[in-house]
Amino acid sequence: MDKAWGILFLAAAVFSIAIFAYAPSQGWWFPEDVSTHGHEIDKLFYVILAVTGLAFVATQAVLCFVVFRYSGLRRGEKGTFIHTIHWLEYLWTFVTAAVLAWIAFVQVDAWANIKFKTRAPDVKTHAHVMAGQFEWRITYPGFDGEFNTVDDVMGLNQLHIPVESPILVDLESRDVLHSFFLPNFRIKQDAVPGMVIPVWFTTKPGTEDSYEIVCAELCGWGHYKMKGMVFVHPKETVDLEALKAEVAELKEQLDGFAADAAEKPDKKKRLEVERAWTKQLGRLGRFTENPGLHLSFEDWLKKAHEEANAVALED
Amino acid sequence: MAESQASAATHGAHVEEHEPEYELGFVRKYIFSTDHKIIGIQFLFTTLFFFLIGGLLVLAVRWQLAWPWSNMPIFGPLVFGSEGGQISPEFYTMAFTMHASIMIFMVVIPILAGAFGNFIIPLQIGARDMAFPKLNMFSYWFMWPAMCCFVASFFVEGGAAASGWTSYPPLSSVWSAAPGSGMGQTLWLTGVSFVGVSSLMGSLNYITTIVTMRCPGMTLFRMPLTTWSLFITAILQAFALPVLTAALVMQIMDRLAGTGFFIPPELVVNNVEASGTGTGGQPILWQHLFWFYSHPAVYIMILPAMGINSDVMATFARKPIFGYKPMVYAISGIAGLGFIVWGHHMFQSGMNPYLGTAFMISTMFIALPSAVKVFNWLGTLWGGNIRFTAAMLNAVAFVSTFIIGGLSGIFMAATPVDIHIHDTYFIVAHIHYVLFGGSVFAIFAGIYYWYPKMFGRHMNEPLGKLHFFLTFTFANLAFFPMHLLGVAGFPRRLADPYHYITFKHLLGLNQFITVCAICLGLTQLIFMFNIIISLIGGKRAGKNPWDSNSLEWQADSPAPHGNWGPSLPVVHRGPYEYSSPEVQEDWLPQTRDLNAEKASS
Repeated sequence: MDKAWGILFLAAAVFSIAIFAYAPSQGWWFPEDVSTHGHEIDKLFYVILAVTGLAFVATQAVLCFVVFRYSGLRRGEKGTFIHTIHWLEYLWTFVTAAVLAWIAFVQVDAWANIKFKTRAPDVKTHAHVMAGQFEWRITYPGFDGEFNTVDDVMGLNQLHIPVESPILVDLESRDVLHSFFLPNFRIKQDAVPGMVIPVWFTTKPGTEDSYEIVCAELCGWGHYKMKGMVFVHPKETVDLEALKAEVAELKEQLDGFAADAAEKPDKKKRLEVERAWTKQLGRLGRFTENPGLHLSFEDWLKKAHEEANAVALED
Repeated sequence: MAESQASAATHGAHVEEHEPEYELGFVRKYIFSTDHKIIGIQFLFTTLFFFLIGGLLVLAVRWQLAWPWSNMPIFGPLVFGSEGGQISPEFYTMAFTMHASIMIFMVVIPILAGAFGNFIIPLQIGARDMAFPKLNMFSYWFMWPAMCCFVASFFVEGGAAASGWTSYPPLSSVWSAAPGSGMGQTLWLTGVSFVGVSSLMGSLNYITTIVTMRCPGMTLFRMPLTTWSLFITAILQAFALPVLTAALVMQIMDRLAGTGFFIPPELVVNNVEASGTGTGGQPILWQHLFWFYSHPAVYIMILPAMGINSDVMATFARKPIFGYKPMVYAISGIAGLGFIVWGHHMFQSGMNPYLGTAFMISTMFIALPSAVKVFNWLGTLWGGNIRFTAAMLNAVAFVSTFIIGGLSGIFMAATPVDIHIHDTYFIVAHIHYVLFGGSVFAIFAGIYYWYPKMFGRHMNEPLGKLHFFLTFTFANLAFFPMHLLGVAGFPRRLADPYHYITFKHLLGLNQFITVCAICLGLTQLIFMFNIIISLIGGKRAGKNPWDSNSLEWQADSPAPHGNWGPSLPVVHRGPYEYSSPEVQEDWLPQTRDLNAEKASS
């Protein structure tokens, strides 16, 4: 009967491994990474997962083994009378220390790249992000490139950035603590009243879309609804009509391939067209779902500037 | 040594002189008692009561995460009748704040240090009581103002504190910041201060008792690991608590006296100018002070659990602890390093990132003594003759789950990975694997193990095993998937995470966790039932029902006032000489004098 407990401990270990293996298929895993530095974080996670996974399997295996092997009360029999094995103590202490030291040192550079001010990109500040209960106020310097001038463009809960450019953001808070968490960018930084903290990142090519900003530091009863969006704009304004036409044309070509299926289809060519079609259809979908996203950042800024002026004139 | 023997002997005489006094009245004997065992039991029952309250609070949190904005059955109409049984975001924020605060300050710390510390230390070192019995009594009664503050805070305007158990300013220190930042927050700060005073009284007592009152022959390296861990924990508390107390007083001053230690200049919150602005305070200063205590507090909550676990494992594996001295050094190592790792809670706080690298390195190395302890427990089991009592099952479960809690800590210690998982459910998973998987399993193990010594009766074993089976199963099912939520970036403390598209698909997993958490909560009723019925109907226990070696099992069950009768025990060896070839039995009590036996035969 006592040996059955070994099965329970084994079941717990197997469950742990199984659910980790099953998780990615259910999306219980990293959200899509659109930043150029995110892979460093993800890679380090996998390295640690491999090392700790090994330690987990080894220790749980020993645990289940001893529970199974040495259970079953045998009154009158004795356990092994042993107090320690010195070489073994030294061995597991030094091996563990070496592994931990290695994990410590492999990550120093990734952290430095993401957070050390000396490694910040040499670009002008793209925007000020002012966190407050329960919204993100975002200010762009406008065309003069200077903050606190009449030409500043302000927005609420929407951070617009150009794709593939190094972005430097100054993060502040006007009341309590908040945290600027961009799950898809592997960025998290607390916003602290009284401090201006620089945050920087660059997006990968082909990532024009909208992504969420989450407040990750408890900021009051409305903390849960402090949601913002990052809009990643294309480098050049996309002609939506032309894109639509391109998608339609590609679709026609694809249909053509299907009709010709009886004859010898050029598989390679077909695959190429199919890929192009999927890609452009996706782009079109994202641009139509997020109005204004097809504009380049400069064009978007110009439009936002004009709209702000129009409102000011009306007032 | 001679001095400590002398002082122990004097103390013994002192107790005997006054013994008749304790027979006088019920109140002096059971309520305002100075007997360490009664005080320990008082701590035990008080903390178990709060364990239920803390557990109930989390049900509201889990309900909201699984079925957001839907009416909560049973409790909903009772507590939130005006909203038709729906949990408000204000209540949600308060519920997780008070769940954590109660579990940490009212349950795990006082049950380990207060209940086990009081009950076990004098019995394991062969003393008649604590060095300062009255101070000891006060350490328990100072918990009462704390409990009153915590309980009363639910009924004041704005409700109880709602700024997280970490109570970060300015949210916590500015009255206008949130409904819970009103009187409820002041009561929270006051309550935690009282817990601190209580803990400090206890820890000074433990240190003095262990240093001066060990019985003849009880050298430091003959002390059981429970006492060692409580000794080191007491030192840890004595050094860390003053910092927390100072920080609490500073925050109370910020709230009530117009100072601005943690409030930056010209701060306006919710359209109200914060008092104390203009003095140039710094919110991050609180985080440094808070974590300077609260990281060691994590070890305050796990070291005694490790000690208890070692004692239970050696007893039921019928084997000496593998690597007794490395275990002591590991406890000391964890305690020492525990003071230089607090910054790992603050990697994303705005603290200088260079400092983050330094804290990352120290944090990595604190995994080392924890790993050494796990290896030594496995070494203890290896080659044993394991008896699977309910106590032992919980002790083995501690090792199984502590491995997970320890390993997941490495992910957070890694500064770049922490960027993604900080403030997500990965952290929640980790803390529950360490505090529930770790501390609580060891607490269960300790209660099953020492219950006969406390009350002279056994707890019901089949019920104990059933309770263990269900607890271990549901704890793993509820807490392990939280790691995955964390990897997906699912933040903690959000009343409704599902209006983020990024987290929408995690609803199903959260419902599964909630169902398991409810089952885990219900399972604890079996434990409470067992504790209560065993008081009356439990099988009577003799002096040494588990065939244990350590000193407490040489006293009667339950031990009388003064513990040892006319003369103090004399110790001849360490506490873990199980299966010794020197004797026929597989246990060899610390007090058994083999030389005298030989001479007489």
